[in-house]
Parts: sequence; structure tokens; C-alpha cells
Amino acid sequence: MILLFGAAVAALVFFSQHSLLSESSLDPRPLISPQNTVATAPFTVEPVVFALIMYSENSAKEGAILIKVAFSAWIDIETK
Amino acid sequence: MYTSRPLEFHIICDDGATAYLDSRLRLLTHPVHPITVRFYRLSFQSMVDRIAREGSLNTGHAAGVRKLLYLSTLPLYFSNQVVDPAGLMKLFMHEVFPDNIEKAIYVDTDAFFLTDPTLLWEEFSRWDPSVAVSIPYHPNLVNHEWFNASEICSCIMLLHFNKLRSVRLMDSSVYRADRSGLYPPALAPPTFTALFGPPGPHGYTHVALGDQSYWWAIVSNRSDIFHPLPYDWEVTSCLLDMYGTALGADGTSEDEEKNALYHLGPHQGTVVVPKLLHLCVIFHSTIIRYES
Repeated sequence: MILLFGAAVAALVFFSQHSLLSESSLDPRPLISPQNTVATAPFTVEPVVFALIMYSENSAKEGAILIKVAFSAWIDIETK
Repeated sequence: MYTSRPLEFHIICDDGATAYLDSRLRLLTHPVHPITVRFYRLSFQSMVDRIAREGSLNTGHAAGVRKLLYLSTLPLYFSNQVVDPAGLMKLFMHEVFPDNIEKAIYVDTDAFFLTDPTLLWEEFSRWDPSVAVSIPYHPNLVNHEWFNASEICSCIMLLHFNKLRSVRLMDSSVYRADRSGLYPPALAPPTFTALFGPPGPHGYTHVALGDQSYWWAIVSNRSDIFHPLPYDWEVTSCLLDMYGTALGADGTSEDEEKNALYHLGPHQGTVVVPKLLHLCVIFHSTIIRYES
């Protein structure tokens, strides 16, 4: 039996961004439709995107559990 | 959370939340997939000001209440309490995040995933082209005191930000001041008036459930942009007797489940496979009458 553990390269990126809460410009924005949506390039894995609100340390303590990502590794099991 | 895809987290937060999350996230050194975390540190005043520019928002909802010393300086009109405007920011997220954030999953912090969030992300692909919002919807969960906003739960939402930007979901004094006639009016105000009546001097009155009431006004009036989220992802099952499910019956077949589950409304005859656990802290009990 062979156990093969492999882990992908991790990229943990922190961006601290001061974003202005402002209304959109006065330019009307085009509606998104299948016709003008840029197709995802082959082999590009679209990320799962979350929008969250954690406006206090207590909220962050809750939210940290929500976004906690489990360590895991691929395991191949072969029986001879 | 076990994921089969890269993850991006865009988080509206304050300094305290940022510091805590940063300390936790730095413990994560070898995730299988890339993870991106961006913090959007809004000032309290900027949130208050944006809500004020909308002009009519008001709520008595207790979620997120924070006792603030400068109560008298708030230009918001909440009934007998100060409500953290961060909850109402759920209505403005499409303005906070940059335009390259096309769409996203919103989940309240008091929940966690039982399954791969990719399964939820794939719900976007099942939408009609006009759809911009997906929220769990229970047509038989009525409460007239709440304008029936109990029929949805904004605890979890799939939001297509680009579509919400293009229709200018929320109104603003900036928009109202524009006299060019070239731009569409904001989508939400007519839906609010249709449900709550015209706003008074202090905005809409008796809006009991905060942002959820406003989301309900929007999606109940504009069903063309709404797609109910499957009950696999809903977080109100505790108010629905868990649909008759219980622990200890893992071997039950789907056919048996179909016949056993109830309170499923338009989804009666289907099997609910829970994929999200919501802790759903409720301060006081509420009697809800089932219409069916």
C-alpha cells in the first residue's frame, strides 16, 4: 500500500485595502450578458468568491470559523 | 471548509476584525488551493453617510446592535436602539467592492460549510440571464407584522454585483441630483414603497428585519431578477421543524425521504441535502403560522 501525499503550492495573499464606499459613476454600466462575458481561459480554475461582513472582533471570531480552510492532502491508496 | 477550488474572501471589516483575522490566517501555510483575502476597512461614518444618502432606510432590527456613546450624532433613525449599520451594508456590497468582483457568495458569519463551497458557486450557472439575486425562499413562512420578509433569509445570498451595479440597486442623493436624464433611476426605491408604503420623515417605518426586509421588498417586487436558492443551502430549517429530518437515519433512501419530508412548499417531493450549518442565534422566540 502506498500512501502518496501531495500538497499544492499555497498562495496566501493578504491585501489590506481602504476602499471608498461610493456610488457608481454616472456612466451607465452595461448589463452583463452571455454575449459580453469574457470566457474563462482553458485550464483556468475560477475561484469561489465570498463577500463577507465582519465589523467587530467578535464578528471576526465567528467569521474565522466560517472561512477556516482545512488542511488536506491527496491520498492515493493502492491495495496489492 | 473543504474546497476543490481556489478561494477569494472579500471582507468588509474594521481594524479589530482585521487584526484578528490576520492573526488566524497567518496560521494557514499549506492550503491545497490558493487563497486570497482582501480586507475593506470602512469607517463607521462612511457607512452611516452612505445610508443617509439613500435617504429612507430605517430599521428596528436588533442584529448587530452596538451601544455607542455618540448616539445623538447618528443621522439614522432607528427605533429605541442603535443598529450597527454594517448589517445594512449587505445592501451596498456591490458599491464597496471593486468592479472586477463580478459576483460573490454572501454568508452570515454564524454559519459554516458542511460541503465543498464549489457546489454553491455552481448555482450561478443555473440562473436565467436576468437573475441577479438568489436567496432561500419559503412562501409558506409568513408573518404579516414583518411584511412577510420571513419568506426569505438574507443570511445566505448569491449576488451578481455587476448586474446590481448596472441597475443601480440602491438610491443616492448623488443620483437624484443628476438632471441629465441619461441614467436609470435606482431599482430599489419603488420596491420599498410598494411593500412599506411611502417613506415618512424618518424613512420607512416598521421595517422589522433590517436588510432582510429590504431584500424581500426587492425580490418580491422584481421576481425577474430573483432565483430561489435550493433548500440544501437555506438556513431557516430550524424554524421549519428541520423538514422532518433527524439524525440517525443515514441509510434512508431518497424515495423514503421524499415521502417523509414536509414544509418544503414549492419543493415538496424533493430531498433536502443540507450543505451549510447555520447557528442562527435568535434573541427571542417568534410564533410563525404555517399557511399550508
